Amino acid sequence: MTAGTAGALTRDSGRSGHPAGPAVRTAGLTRRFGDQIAVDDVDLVVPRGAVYGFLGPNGSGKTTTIRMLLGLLAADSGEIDLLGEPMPASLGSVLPRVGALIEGPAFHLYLSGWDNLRRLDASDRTADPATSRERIGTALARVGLTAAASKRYRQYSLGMKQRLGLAAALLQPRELLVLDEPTNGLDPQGTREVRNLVRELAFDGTTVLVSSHLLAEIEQVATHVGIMAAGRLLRQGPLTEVLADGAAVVRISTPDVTLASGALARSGLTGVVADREAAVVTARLGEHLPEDVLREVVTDGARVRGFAVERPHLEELFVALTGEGFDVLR
Amino acid sequence: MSSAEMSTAEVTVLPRPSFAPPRTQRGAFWRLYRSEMRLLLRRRRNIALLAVLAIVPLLIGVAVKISTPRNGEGPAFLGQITGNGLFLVFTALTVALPLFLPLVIGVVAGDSIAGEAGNGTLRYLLTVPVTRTRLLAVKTLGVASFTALAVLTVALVGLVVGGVLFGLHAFTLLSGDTVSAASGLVRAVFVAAYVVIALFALAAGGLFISTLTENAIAAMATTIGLAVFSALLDAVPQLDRIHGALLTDHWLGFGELLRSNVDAAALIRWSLLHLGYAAVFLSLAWARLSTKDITS
Amino acid sequence: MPVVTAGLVAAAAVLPGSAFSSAAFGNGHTALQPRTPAELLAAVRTSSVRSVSGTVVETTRLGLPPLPGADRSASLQWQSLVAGSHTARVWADGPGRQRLAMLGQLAESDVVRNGQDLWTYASDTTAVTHAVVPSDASKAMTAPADIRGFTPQAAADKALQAIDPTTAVSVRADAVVAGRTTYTLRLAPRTAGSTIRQVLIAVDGATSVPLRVQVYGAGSSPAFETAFTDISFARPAATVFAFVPPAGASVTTRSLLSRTQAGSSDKAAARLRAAAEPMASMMIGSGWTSIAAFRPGNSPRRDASTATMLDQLSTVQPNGDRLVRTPLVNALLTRDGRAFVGAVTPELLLRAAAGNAG
Ligand SMILES: Nc1ncnc2c1ncn2[C@@H]1O[C@H](COP(=O)(O)OP(=O)(O)OP(=O)(O)O)[C@@H](O)[C@H]1O
Ligand SMILES: [Mg+2]
Repeated sequence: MTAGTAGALTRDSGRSGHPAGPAVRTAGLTRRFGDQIAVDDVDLVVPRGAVYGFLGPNGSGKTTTIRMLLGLLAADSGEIDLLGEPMPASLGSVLPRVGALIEGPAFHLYLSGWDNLRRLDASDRTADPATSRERIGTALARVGLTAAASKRYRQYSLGMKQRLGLAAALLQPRELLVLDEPTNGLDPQGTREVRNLVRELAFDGTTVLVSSHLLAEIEQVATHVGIMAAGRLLRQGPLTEVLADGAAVVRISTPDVTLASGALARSGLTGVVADREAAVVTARLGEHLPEDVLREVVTDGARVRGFAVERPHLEELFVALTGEGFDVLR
Repeated sequence: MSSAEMSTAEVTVLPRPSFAPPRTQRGAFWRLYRSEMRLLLRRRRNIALLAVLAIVPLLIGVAVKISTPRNGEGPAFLGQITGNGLFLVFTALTVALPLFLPLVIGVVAGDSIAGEAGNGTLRYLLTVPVTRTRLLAVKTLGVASFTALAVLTVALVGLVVGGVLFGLHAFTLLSGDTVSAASGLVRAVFVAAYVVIALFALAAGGLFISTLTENAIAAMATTIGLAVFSALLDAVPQLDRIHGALLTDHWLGFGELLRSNVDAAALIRWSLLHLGYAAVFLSLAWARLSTKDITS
Repeated sequence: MPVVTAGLVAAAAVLPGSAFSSAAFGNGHTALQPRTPAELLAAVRTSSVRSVSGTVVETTRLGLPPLPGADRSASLQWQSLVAGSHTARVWADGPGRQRLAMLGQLAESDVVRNGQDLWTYASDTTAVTHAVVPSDASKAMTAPADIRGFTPQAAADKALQAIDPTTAVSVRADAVVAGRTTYTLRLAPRTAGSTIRQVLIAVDGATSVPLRVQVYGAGSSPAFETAFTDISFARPAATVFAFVPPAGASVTTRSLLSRTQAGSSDKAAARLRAAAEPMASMMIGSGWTSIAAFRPGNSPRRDASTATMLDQLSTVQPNGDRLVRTPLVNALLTRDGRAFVGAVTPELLLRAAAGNAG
């Protein structure tokens, strides 16, 4: 992480008074419920400015991790740094810079959307009452709720509630947004809107930690991903790396199947599979460069009809990592 | 993946953020308090509770107007209302104290934190953030204000109804001595203040109970149960040794303010007992809330 | 002291003691000189304290089932005296100016003696009675009626009057009552037949005013106790004794000289009359084993709940008489309507009834 820290320092210097470092970093974060480990020794790193897709099957510990990040749950062990400050010790100075949507929205049923936001804004010590109206209006507009602002929350649809939750997270300019399943219940336009919103916020410099089950959505916006299963963080890093990481496959269409597979094996590629009937040879690309691989194959005299390097989609990677099983593990 | 690669991505992808460090606004606590009071008073249920309290003196006043009770009948001072409307304040408080006021306070105090936990708004308040100590402080103040409002509703409606129906005249104390109407009013103010302090002990108990659960209804019922249970113990003569220390034992002690020779020391002692209860309950509430896992 | 206890139950008249006279101040907690019983008794009789004000708490634990509402009523009806605890404020400035306020929850009963005037006021009924004390009236008639045996002074006075050769008297200097160091005078019967084990009287070391009287039956805690919980010997303000009846109150005037003619049907007046007038009664025996014999008429059996309670408490004798037993006081109610009450064993009561037939 030393290099990462240096990178962040360069970016931050002279700009804000906050200490540098990743937006979120945990070390050995662990939480049990009874004898079940919900979060097991998790070292989360969310670099500043990243859109971090936080993925995992149901019950894998995402929400539990997020609750610990925000000081709602106490960790059994491990450390948390949020925006460079320890949590929950610096909760009072860190959380005003963090917007959050945790496990769905929650508001007072008998208040309107506007009044609910006013309630939250009034409870923020750092919110300027003079700009309250303006900020609430902007936040509602950003999530497309302006028309429903004076409706009682009780009368909101599922998607409207979700939008109001997002608006609450956007009441103030935030350095970090933690969004736990923000697109739950949204219509396609809403989902798209949230995607654009996240991009926009990220462009403005906000770090976004977003948990979601819509892998296609995440693939479109995330710069980084972390994949949880059964309480453990299996893999994390920049999206491209995680997807590329040992998973790319070369696919060669050739009538000379034997020649090609021999060349691939000699070059050091693993998982070579030759399919004579389809006249296709595949192998895992690993650390090799595609152009070198192709040269070897051609040099060995194989006639090549087609050559492709296929990278898996996030969904395939996700299933490969967390298993095909449909049942909730714990 | 390696950390070096990650930082590369970071530096290349990201624009420079520019966030002003947040600063605490002046008067932020009172802004939150006002918001809390709005929350309490915008709720129809709470307004209905206050209306029920307002009906108590109204009903007594009208009933006494329609049929004059004989002296010594019914709740304290009932027979004296026809002669002096000010007595309606004390009769109404006497009638409301055992059940109606604890009911109202039980609902509002029991709901205060459990209600927010139950519908999930607690997690959003805490991540705003409202620190837990600050949350408890504002909830305490809110519940205390509502307690005062409840008592004032009974007392003021009693005063207005009593004044309109029967007039306000020189005031006969429990000891048989007579003081001016103004002096009687001053005593009524002290009585209301005493009752507010007494009921605040219950309200603090409700706050504590409210930190124990996410089920607001259960917290309300338990809080009301606390008052009922204390009153029950108070009625068991075999337990007379502990009666003086019970939560509800001195609630009607406001009668002391209506004697010729007011035992101020006793009133202070009882009020300190009530405040002591409140302090214990609030400490427990704080200990509980500050370590509580918010899983709702 | 049999008279004190029997008197409480039978509502016989007892008056506040002569303990009020001029001033002798002290503030307790100093080590007391040893005194013999005789010296202490003499000091109590000659104590010159005139002014007293304070709070008195009286507690009766006769082991009877508690009567509903008795605990916090401001009145001294016999029902509330059998069980429970009562608090009163007392003020005295010489024998001519006294006030006793029985404190109830949201209620108060006051008896005020101010020179020639004797007032009573009950807040629950707002009834006022007024009597003019004739200058030649006896003490028994002029003392605020409800003070009978209630204050430690009155109870002690009665107990001390009853000292006779059958009484063993001893003194210790140990107790602290109402924040003041006291001698404890112990009276105990030498004879058999009494249910009283001992009577303890705490006497203020500095002023020799009795501050507490405890009457023990068989149990380890006193069956009857009256004590100051706070006391001051400063002179009370004159306004304390200046009672003016509230405007519009119905004032019942009664005469202290012709008690029988107080014929008002007013409930409070009737109660006061009942309290003030000893029922046709006589004392059988003397000292520790004295028994009060009287015809209660219908007063203690006035209401149904009282009757039911009596039925529950009493055991029926072979001859149909009813015997009510408590740790301290026993009572025998004969079929022909006579009552025998005393702090004596049931055997003595039965014998008294047999020897007093008709
Ligand atoms: N309050 C709680 N008490 C006991 N167990 C809990 C509690 N909260 C969560 N768990 C358990 O911890 C594990 C992780 O739950 P968590 O809510 O963090 O999962 P998640 O990754 O957010 O799942 P989802 O995708 O369904 O939201 C689950 O097995 C869950 O049963
Ligand atoms: Mg979740």
